[in-house]
Amino acid sequence: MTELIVAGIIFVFLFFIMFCLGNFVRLFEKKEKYSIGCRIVSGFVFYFFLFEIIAFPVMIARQPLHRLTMIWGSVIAFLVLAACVKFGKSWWEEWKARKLRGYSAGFYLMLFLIGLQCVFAALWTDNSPDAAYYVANVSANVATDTINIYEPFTGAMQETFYTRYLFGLYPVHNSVVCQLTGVHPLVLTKTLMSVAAIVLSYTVWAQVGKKLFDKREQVWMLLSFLSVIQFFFHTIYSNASFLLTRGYEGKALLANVILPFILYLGLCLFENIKNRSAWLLLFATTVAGVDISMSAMSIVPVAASAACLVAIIGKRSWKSLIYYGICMVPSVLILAVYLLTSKGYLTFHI
Amino acid sequence: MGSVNFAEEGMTFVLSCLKEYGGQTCMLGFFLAGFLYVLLCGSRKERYFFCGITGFLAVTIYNPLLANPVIKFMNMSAEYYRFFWILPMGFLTAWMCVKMAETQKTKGKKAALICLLFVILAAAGNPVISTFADLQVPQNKYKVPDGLLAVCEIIHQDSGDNAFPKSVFEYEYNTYVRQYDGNMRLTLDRDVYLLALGSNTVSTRNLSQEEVDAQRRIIDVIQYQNVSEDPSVLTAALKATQTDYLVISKSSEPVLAYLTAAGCESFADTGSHIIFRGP
Repeated sequence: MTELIVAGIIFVFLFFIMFCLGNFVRLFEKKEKYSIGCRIVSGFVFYFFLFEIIAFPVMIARQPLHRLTMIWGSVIAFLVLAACVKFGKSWWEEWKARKLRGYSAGFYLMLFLIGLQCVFAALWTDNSPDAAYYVANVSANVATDTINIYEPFTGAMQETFYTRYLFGLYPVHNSVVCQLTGVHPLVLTKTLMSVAAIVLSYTVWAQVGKKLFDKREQVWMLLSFLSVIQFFFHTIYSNASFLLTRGYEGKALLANVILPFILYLGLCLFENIKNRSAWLLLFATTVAGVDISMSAMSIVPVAASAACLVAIIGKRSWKSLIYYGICMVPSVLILAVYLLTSKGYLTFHI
Repeated sequence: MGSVNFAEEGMTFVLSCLKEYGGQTCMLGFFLAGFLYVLLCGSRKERYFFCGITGFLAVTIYNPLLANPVIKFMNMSAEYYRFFWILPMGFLTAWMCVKMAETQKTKGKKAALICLLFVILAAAGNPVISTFADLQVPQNKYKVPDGLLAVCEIIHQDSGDNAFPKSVFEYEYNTYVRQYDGNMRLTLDRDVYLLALGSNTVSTRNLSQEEVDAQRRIIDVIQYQNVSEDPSVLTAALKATQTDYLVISKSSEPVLAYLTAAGCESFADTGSHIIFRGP
């Protein structure tokens, strides 16, 4: 029970960290108003963008897990402190200025349906073969204090880093959190992060909804309908299935948080093609997406291209192609390294 | 995609994948209806979001002329369906429902229409669980069988200074155990086990043929209860794989006797499983 309570505290703290990091987005586009939800999702992207940049070289250098844990813990502590110092006053002013307004039945229905999904994910027991990689990877890293050195399936020491998951360090992130907090990998992945995936997903869709609808009531209704659809769009391949039954996998976050967030950024660019924070977030998403799931290596650039190019063509803003090109650079580099590694031209030995 | 073969489908691969993705739900139909509605009646922003992005994808990654060479080069026929995650299928359907509900001016009629739409969505879909019995409260906070916790504890107690004992488990425990206990090494690789069970979506990666054969011999005994060969064959496989322990269900009586004949010593009984020390 204590461990579940600790997991609950970690859940709240993770969202607070994301909120803090997301506030830095405001520095790049002061004219925009950023809701709490928008800041949380932006912070989520920055969080994994930073993690990939820090964790990948630490892994390749074959450093022990505790070293990465110390580095990551220090970086996050510094950034959270910096956010509190920089934005603390504005948070207090926002809190004082908030309007106390009642919520309708639609709002509570939405909360109930999302809550139902969270309970479902928390109780759902999944033993798919993929869990034997993703979760076992977390356990193996924590048990041996190493980073992707031991094969998750059997525990044998690998000769090279597994190409298929080379940049996909989401399990390593979970290992770091387990080592920092003492929470068991299974509790973190199959309960905490599964529920977090659902909350993040609806936070993103709420932001999209606010762009398409004028009234809050319509957004609550939208999320209620979406909740029902998520329960009944089960096809083992669908994003809904991954969200509810395989939320511990990075793919669930990719399908239900990252990709919808890219579409949201596309909407932001359609409204204002020169929105610097949107371009910056898009750049960060191309890296964060791969950190969360290697499938993002090909899917994220396609989604980003669809969102950006259609907006650029719609706005006839041809100079923005430069920003689009810059956003694609990480994807091209990652894809190049992956292809060179998978074809045997490049090897990362352990 | 397991049921859709790239080599066989050729130019219809993308369409076949899309149909598989939609499965037994009407989500594809709702998405197409919504797409057409937005195209004809939507605002500029809505047309960008729902139609522009979908149109771009249709002429690029969903276009067989472009997609097929990419799929072949990247060897991603099993993962191609993930590109459909980009399409906001569920979101567009939900958006359409809101638009329909907003046509009703009175609260009562709106509520009634919303309830009707909920029923339609449920009836036109495929539920994530068929019955409430499918959703059971986990036995523990780790969401693994309680028996597995007991097995791991017993093995670690017996293994003494060996902090990373190597064990053989039947399929269910074999999949779970390293998620729960990162110190437990396994004899049977997940993919070798899946191949033995008939999967066609995995490979044995860098394992040597000798390693695969030894594991297959063990799987043959514990999974298929093939006890016709001389026990010394199993003994050789267990020694070659340096197996320290085996955990077998008590219901597999022929296997239990066979393991004893192969030189394995049973030393613990968890109620559901017998734990053997390897030969």
